[in-house]
Amino acid sequence: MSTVKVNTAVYSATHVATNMLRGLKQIIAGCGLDASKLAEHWSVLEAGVSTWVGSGHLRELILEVWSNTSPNKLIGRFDFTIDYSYYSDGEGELWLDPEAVAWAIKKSGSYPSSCDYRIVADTTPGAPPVEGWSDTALRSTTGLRRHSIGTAIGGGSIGAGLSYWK
Amino acid sequence: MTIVARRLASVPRRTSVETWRRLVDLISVEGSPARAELLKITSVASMLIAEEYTRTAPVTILGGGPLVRIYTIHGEDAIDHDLGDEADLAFNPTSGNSWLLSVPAGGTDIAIARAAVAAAPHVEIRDVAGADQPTPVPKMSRPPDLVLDLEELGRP
Repeated sequence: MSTVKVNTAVYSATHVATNMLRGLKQIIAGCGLDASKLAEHWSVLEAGVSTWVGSGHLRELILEVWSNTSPNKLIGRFDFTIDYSYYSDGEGELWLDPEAVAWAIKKSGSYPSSCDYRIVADTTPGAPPVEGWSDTALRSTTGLRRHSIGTAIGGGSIGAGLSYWK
Repeated sequence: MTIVARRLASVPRRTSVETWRRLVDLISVEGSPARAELLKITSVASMLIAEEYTRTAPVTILGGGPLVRIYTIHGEDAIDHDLGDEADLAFNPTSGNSWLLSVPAGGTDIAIARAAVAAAPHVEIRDVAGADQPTPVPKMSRPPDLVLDLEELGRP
């Protein structure tokens, strides 16, 4: 685990946003899914996630996984959940725990190559619009159970906890 | 060969996309075909910057002039970095058509990135592990020698 002392909110927001996307990319590749789609849309994803972490509107960044044979039925899901008061003094070091992501991959297992995925940002009302993002509804988690890994990313006042659904 | 190096502040000082755009500003002229080609690969190039391959292995630009090496700086070093050190280049390394930009990548990112830049003829993805070296750009044919005609200078 690497740590960096920082007290600037914008830097911590960028750090958390970037590393949540890196974490999702690691999960996508680690679970046997094709990360090409993520690479293709990195600019749009980063614009949205960094904007909404910076504005304090992002509640969760979610990776939904489904089988192409049943597109409406969720077979897996990963959540980064933001806590904007994780550090009460707002001066938490920038850190990242790659082992947390690796553990989530190990526990969830891999998916068949016929599976697809998408990334959904759950935001609070008033989130500024970002080009390339559109409204949607999350797939039902019926039949899946949520498992918390713990906080995986931190910085400034922000912490991002990681959970997986199986 | 002359080598020119720059180090650009990246995450968390800039987002990965902002870092790539700064790099493109540095090495290309606004409105040029080179800039258009480089901006088309912003997503995948930014993803590779976010993965910090360019922290230790530079993006290289090889063309008619000096070899340009651009590294990115991350974490605390990026926060402390003096942006005044990111001076513009004294030349345009992407002028003409015989330049090549090489971006490092590793693991499964290599195949993903190579597919993503397939339509960019002046861009290659190389293995950060060092198995690949930037591809030398074929030398342009040498222009004819210029000879100063002293007799002509003496004519009225």
